[in-house]
Amino acid sequence: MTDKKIIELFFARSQEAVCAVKDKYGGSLLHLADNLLGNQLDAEECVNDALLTAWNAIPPQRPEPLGAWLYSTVRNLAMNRCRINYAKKRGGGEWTASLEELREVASPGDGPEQAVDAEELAAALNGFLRGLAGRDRLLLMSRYYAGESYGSLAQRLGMTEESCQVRVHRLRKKLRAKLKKEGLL
Amino acid sequence: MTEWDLAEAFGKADDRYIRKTARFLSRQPIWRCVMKKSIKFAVTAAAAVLTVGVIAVAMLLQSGPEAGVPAAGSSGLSQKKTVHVVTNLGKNWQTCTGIEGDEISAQYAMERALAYFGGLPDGVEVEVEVLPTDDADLQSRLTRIKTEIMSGGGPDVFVMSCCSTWGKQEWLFNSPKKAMLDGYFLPLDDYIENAQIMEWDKLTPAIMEAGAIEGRQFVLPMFYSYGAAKATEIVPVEDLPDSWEKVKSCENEIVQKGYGMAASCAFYDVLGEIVDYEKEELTVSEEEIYTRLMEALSLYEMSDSLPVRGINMETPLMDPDVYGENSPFGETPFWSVEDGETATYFPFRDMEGEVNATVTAYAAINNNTQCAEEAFTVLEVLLSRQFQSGERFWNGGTNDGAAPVFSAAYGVPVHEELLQRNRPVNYFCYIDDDVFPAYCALRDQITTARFFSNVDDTLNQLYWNCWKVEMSDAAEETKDDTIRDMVSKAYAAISMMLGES
Repeated sequence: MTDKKIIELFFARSQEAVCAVKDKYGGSLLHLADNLLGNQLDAEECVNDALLTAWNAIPPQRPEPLGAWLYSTVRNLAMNRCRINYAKKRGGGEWTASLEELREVASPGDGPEQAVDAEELAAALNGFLRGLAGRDRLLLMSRYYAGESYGSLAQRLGMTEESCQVRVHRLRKKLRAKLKKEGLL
Repeated sequence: MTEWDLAEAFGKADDRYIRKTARFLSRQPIWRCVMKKSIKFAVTAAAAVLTVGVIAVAMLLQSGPEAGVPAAGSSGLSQKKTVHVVTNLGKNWQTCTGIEGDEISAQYAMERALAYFGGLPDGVEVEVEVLPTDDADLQSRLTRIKTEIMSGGGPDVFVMSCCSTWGKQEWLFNSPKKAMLDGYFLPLDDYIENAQIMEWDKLTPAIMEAGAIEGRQFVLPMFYSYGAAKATEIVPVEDLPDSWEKVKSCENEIVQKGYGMAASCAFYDVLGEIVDYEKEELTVSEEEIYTRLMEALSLYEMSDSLPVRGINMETPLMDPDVYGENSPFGETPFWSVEDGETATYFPFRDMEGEVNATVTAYAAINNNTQCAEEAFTVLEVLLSRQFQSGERFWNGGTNDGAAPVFSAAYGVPVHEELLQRNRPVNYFCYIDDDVFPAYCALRDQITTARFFSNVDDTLNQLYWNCWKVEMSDAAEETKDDTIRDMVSKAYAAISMMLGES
């Protein structure tokens, strides 16, 4: 079913809309939530919360593209739970490992308390992503947006796990240099 | 700024990037690509196999026991002669049901492949046993098979992967070379001479030699990989070094970067064969491993930027669905050259100047077998061009199901007539016509081949662990001490492996 048709169903307040979203995006949303939370039950709950959010938000919203909007909703919900789990040091699976890696870029030593303008940071990151080759962008996004493991990335890309790690390590170094140059670090 | 700020920023990435990431992650991993397409076929095929199975059992029960010689690998429950094939290519046999390590799939593929070539003689059946991937189950199964072999029985045919691409697992033979020396495999020379299906002269000679000792062939390599580099510019032939030793003094930076990349893909190829299996001793010192390792790491640091790429056993071929024009990467596959682009492919030479290849999958016959001729027929089918193509050739080559062996994920086939546009592997893997001569030239430069073993695996792990140390923020002296310690431990571990092979 097309996204347009699904949105129409939401506007018509038809419960088929939720089923259609589940059919079309359920698998990838669950995969994302599971990556971030490292727990199947939490992940299912998170996806259900996202579906409820969609039900409440559409209408009046008419998100386009629907897939990216759903993905972001699940990620935001999962991130909120992650914060709690992270603070309590309660696992969190691959996502925790990827956060630890981001710490290398954010470098608390440079001033952990220093506030950063979220919009400015997002713009800088988008600029960085725009300048990357397709594969590198996918590597970074899969790892730090979706919390994908290196093992899985290696299989998907036909690379060794180590090559993936090396590539991402180098990209992190480049990102850090860019953020520093723009005065964000 | 904290890591959370950055994580939040990734959440605000451009919608296009989020969409592409979601699409990318919803795809099947490469080795599952073909499998997915077979689901529709799977249901029909599995049902058919089950029906045939039920009918066969009913017929057996009606006809009663027949006279026959039990095979070495047969269970003894049936008096019919059975060629027992054991394989650890579980993930590669997902022809029907898409279930990992599924025996129905393997059995189905093997039966159809044999039938295509006229089948086994009347009254002889084939039975495929797929080793489990779960470590505990695998351990008990290997113990059982090893015990059977030691007591004069065991499977008739071994079809084994010896690469650790998708995770290290224990192998039936940790070193096929050692197993050859210890007499586990049947000599095949007489059978090869009278081969009906297999085209021996079309199988890459340098690779096939890996399965021979003093001119006698014991094992048939099926797939292999080798190190190489591609530079997207012309590199004069005189700039290419004739050994690893010369790379250091090479003045062409592209060549050095290429070697750095290739070494990162297969560090073990810098050293070549380091085990003398007859004497059960290592042929290199701990210090030499350390020296080569440091050289490889420093060359790799140079290779941060294009235009060089290395190749390794996972990506001998690029799945165009993943790497082609319509892929999210838009990256040129290793074996392709864009319009207007130039490229130089060059081999990866070790200390002695050899170009090493590693066998990633092989087939052999148990020396205890009671049905050698029938077992060799199975080997002939496995080495046939049709089977090596990884396609369902028995069904007219249609791609409505998956391949009998997903070879591209495990190396290139030994049959030299494959990989061309009109003879692809797995329906879609081929080398562009423009590049095929360069591919053949590189292949023809392979001088030695050996089976990928746990020694190679340990060396590769050592390389990457040391790379991590090199990348850390530790002081240089501490790094060196740590690396020396790691080399020392790896050396000790490899030495111990020699006694266990």
